[in-house]
Amino acid sequence: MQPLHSSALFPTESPPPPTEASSPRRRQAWLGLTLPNLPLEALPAARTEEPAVVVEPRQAQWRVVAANAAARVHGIAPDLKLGAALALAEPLNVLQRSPVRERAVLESLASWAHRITPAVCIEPDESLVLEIEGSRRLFGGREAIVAMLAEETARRGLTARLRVAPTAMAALWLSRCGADDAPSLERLPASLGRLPLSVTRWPEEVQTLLAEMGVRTIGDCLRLPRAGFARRVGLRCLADLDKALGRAVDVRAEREPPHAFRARAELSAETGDATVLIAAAAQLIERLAASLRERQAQIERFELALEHLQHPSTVVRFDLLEPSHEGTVLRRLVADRLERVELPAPVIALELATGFFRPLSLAPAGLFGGRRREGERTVLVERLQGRFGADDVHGLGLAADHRPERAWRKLTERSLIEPPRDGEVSPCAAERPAWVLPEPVPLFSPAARSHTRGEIELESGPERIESGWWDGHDVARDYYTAIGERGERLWVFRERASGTWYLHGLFG
Amino acid sequence: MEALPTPGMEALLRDGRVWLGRGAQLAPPVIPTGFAALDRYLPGGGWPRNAISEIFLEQYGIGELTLLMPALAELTRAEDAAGRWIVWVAPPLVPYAPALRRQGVELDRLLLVHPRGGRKNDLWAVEQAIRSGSAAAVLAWVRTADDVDLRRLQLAAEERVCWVVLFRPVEDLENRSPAALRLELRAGAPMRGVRGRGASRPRRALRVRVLKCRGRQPADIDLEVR
Repeated sequence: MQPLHSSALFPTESPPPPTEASSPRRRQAWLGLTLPNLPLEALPAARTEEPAVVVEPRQAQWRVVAANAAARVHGIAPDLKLGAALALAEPLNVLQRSPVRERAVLESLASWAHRITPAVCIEPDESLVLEIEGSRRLFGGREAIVAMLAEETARRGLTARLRVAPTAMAALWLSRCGADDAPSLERLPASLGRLPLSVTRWPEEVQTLLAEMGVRTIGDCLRLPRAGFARRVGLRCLADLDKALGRAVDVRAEREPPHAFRARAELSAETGDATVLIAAAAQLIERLAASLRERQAQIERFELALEHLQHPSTVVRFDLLEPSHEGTVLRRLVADRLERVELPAPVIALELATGFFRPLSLAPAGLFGGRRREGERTVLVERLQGRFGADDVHGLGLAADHRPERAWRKLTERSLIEPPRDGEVSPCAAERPAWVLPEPVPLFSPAARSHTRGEIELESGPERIESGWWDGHDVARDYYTAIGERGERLWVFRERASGTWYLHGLFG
Repeated sequence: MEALPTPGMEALLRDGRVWLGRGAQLAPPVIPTGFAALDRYLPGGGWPRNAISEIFLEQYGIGELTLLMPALAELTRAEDAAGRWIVWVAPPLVPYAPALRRQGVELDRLLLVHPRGGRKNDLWAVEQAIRSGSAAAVLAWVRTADDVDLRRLQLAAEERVCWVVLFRPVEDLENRSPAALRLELRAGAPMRGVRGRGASRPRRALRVRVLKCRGRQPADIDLEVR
């Protein structure tokens, strides 16, 4: 902040010594890009030869925000009341302003602009500022960058004003009113001086206050006493002026490239044909993979919504065991699943949406296995789970419990790939069968008959197991091994309370 | 070609896709069965690691897993199978983790798949597991598989060096098969003499009838399994 003793805000004759913050800064060049006709151009319906206006409610009245060329011929200009506009031109297409679409147009342009520089900021409501000094060499000079952006905006059917200045604020202001570029820091006060106050987008009451003081341009502001300006107008506006002139550091929140991906593909006709759906999904995946590549990112989960005309969408979720960025892997997963997905109706469109992108971490692939093998391991699990569901593909682990049916557990999801350390659970010292039934079944019942038929002979036992009284699933059993008529060895028990015999396992 | 420098190189040379110059004959990769009588009989001294073995049996619980257990335990520790799965496709019952662990099988290497939707999906899962290259062994309980299905699996197993064991019902014995090894298992007479109360489990006999074995005459082998 400047000392407050100088009489004028920024005496142009003897510029104050630069602050410590600004002096060692490297040279910067900012490009301001303003889309003056954005309210109109964001609406496809406004692209017509007929007179058209975009309106929004302001102070309880519909007022014109933008008018197309045909409407302007009739004398319709921004800020006109809708009633007046309708009186001037007949017929007139009246469209309501859509801030959402305007934002989307800006976002899309900003994301395109990331190929030029990482420092892209979106400024309300219709501007971008880009730091281009760092990219100048790569693209062959400022002019080339400006030309690239001009070409891209024209391709998108947008009217754009592009201005270059040494500070972001100056570039933004210049592009807002369409004044000439400002070539150097020294000549900034002169170039900005002529700009009307409206470029600052300061609050309405501030602008009115300044207007009452006879202050109409930035230059007028700069001639005001600094202390008085700070007191009467506010420090925020003073800071804006400092930033514009490069006398205060302008820290901007740079736009982050998107952290997720969403794309839609519409089919030309309704279909339930898996091959058509897989082909359409593959295209979406390809775009996703390109986006992941661009951002050096990977994903952990995504969803594919299959939209029907008459039904709510069928949503297929994909949870990857390991983050992936490889199109081929994702495509195979999707294809496997789509082959067997049950559809309530034909599909008219597909939408792919991902969770947040994760930074890519590439494990080096060893020549003889190593890390790569981990990947293969996971890919197999993902493929199988993709087709049969996560519950039907699992691993085995031990559990510390004396009840035989609780001495093991299924390992699913992450624990399958990174098994918990079972070291402390020691397997039972006694003989255990390699096969167990999902549930013990009464011996000689129909369920047991598929495993053993006829008489059995007890071989060894009993081994008494009594446990679990604390959680209500207590067991009190005498276990025996037995041999069946066809030489099968069985693991059976007698429940001590009821005396009933059960078959629990087979010594496979 | 007796001593190869690294297990990695050995694995690479055994990969069916690697072309070897003339004279560079490698013995087919095997994994010892852990049963002396069977190892003596089988070419190379163990289960073929790059082929299908078919096991026919009428009745579960006669020692069919016990027969594989030493090899499975060995495989979960083998250097060149490090990190690779042992995939169980459509097991008819629940493989009991404490018993497997007790036999020396590393549980974190086991992957169980229960395909729904019939035999086509069973075979799909088997083939995926083999082709992924991340399975050292695949044990599958397939109800029916024809010659064409099996040939595909056999080729995949050769290419990826995967020990494939198919458990099949005896009704399928008559069908043609490209498997390197076909065994039929029957329970032998119980060995009543060594039966003990509270002591270790009595031994039992398992009759292995070799119906087909590349490079050997069919034979009957009696094993004693615990």
